[in-house]
Amino acid sequence: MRALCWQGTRHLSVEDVPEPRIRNPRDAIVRVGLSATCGSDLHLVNGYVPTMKKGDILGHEFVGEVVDAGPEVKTVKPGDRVVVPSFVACGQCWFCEQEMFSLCDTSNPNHAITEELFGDGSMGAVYGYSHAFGGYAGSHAEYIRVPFADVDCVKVPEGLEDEQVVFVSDALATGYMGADFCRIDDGDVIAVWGAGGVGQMAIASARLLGAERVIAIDRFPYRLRLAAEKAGADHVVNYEEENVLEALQELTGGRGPDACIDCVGMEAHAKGLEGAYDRAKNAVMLEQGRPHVLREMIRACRKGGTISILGVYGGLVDKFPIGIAMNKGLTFRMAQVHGQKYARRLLEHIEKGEIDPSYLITHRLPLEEGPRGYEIFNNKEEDCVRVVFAP
Amino acid sequence: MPGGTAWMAARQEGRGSKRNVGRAGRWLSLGAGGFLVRRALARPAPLRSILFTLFGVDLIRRGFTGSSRVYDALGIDTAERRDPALLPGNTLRFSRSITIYTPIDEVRAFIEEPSNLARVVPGVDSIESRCDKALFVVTVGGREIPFDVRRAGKHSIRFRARTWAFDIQDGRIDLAAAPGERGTEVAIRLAVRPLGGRIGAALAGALGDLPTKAFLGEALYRLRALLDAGEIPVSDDTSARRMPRVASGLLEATRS
Repeated sequence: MRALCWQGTRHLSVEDVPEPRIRNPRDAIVRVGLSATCGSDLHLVNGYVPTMKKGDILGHEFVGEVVDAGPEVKTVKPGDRVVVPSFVACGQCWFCEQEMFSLCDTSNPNHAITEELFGDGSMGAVYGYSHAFGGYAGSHAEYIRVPFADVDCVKVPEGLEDEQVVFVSDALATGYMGADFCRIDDGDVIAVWGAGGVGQMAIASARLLGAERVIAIDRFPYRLRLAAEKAGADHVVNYEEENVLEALQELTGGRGPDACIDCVGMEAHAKGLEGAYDRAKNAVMLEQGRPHVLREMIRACRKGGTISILGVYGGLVDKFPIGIAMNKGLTFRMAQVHGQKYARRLLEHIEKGEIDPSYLITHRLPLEEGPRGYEIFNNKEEDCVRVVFAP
Repeated sequence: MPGGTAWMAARQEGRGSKRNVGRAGRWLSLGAGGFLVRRALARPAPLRSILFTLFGVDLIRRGFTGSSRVYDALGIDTAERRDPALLPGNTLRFSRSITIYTPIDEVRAFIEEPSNLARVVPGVDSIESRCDKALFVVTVGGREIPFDVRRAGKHSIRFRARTWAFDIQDGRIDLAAAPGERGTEVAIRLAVRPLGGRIGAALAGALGDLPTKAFLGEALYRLRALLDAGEIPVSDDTSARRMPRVASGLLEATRS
């Protein structure tokens, strides 16, 4: 089958690879209908995530049809249309039972890689996202093997198109979880850094969960326009044109947002001395990522507010203002997405027409044009929000 | 012997000892201390001689007593695990524990079944029990290694190899119910005899014996996966060719 493979930093290619097969009794094979690019893929593409190997298949956000199932799979069968949360979860360990699916104790066969680094070797696994995170093949391919299919394949209700549900796999679930982390109350103002796919969904979810006002922060006018027109942001702030802290103070009567959601992660852009400092430390491997958004959120958030982190971080960051965070009494909530917890709830929201993520798709390409798709996505060309591939 | 709480208490007791410098470190201290004192006495110079003498004497004390105040302040203890001279027969001891979200009786029943253990222990062809489960014969690469096995209390199993030719000499598995109905705490302790006698043990100890740590980690991961998830997850074909050695063994074991 054909698959989009990682070959090195900013080097992708479409290759012939072996078709997946049932390896364990709880596996299913899914024929991929649509597979989306994700902002977190860019950390792989740009060489920020170690333990990638030449030939690894990318992609972790997809919808498709079950074509084969192992003997112990009970709830899905060949012919079922399913959306698959990006993290692999067994559904039976203690963490899965607590609905912390991305922390699954058993799903990562390469647990030893992160054991020393994280202090606990049982990090969860994700499709197409390095060997440290399980070494599972990604979804930018014609077929993909889905372990623990009863837990990880979520049936798509009839009448919903692939374009409507593909982001339940990751972007929508992640954005929704970020808003859920904020425990939104009456009158709450939520500020969202980053108006890419996850940011758009965090804005829409905060609105859905009852936020009084939502503020979107980004630097691309087309993304800010979408945030206002499609996701429901009340205010937008272009950080290249105005000071974010001053703008948020002004928009919140001097209080600061009740909760701040980071949808940017380790590759944030910062101007001036701070930006130069982070770039220099990254260049000499003394820091892994540029945590400008984290620093800004901690300063911006109201006293006693919540910092919700969805953006991906990979290692050590520097000049983290823990003193400000402690003295302001901030609450930090963060995780990789617990997709299985939210998938069915989100499909219901989509069925009821309460949220429609399909506007995120700005480019639909055949798999053979995968490298070009990532180039467009990485460079934010042609007002790109998300590229989807139809294998 | 339960896993978490009692084990932690035992570790705390061990830390009460003042001896925290390993054998190699003590010899080095003696040598360096003697050198400094000799140099101070050979070339008298007021300030330098006093400093060299004080430092040299302290190093000699460190060598004789095996106790370092700096190590104590930094929480370093190279005597505890890395000094093969403290252990009989040049063995190194390793321990590791995890919590499995499965009731203790199910865990115990599972690990007492040799065919289950064969799926858990990396690199093993088969495990058979004989003499009413008092003898387990582990086959590795076609070679049979007998282990005496005995229960020590309801939730503790001890095992000892009958031959000194095998690297794992003895060990124990302790089970304890985890608090809050979180399943079972499983603790494994192994005594390992590295290749190369005293030198091999010293080298392995100094390097932390990563293969043994990886072996223990992999065994416990497999145990948890089988008990909690019912299967051992495997990476995909496209990635398998490039996976680490331990994980490749896992693939082979699962295929068979």
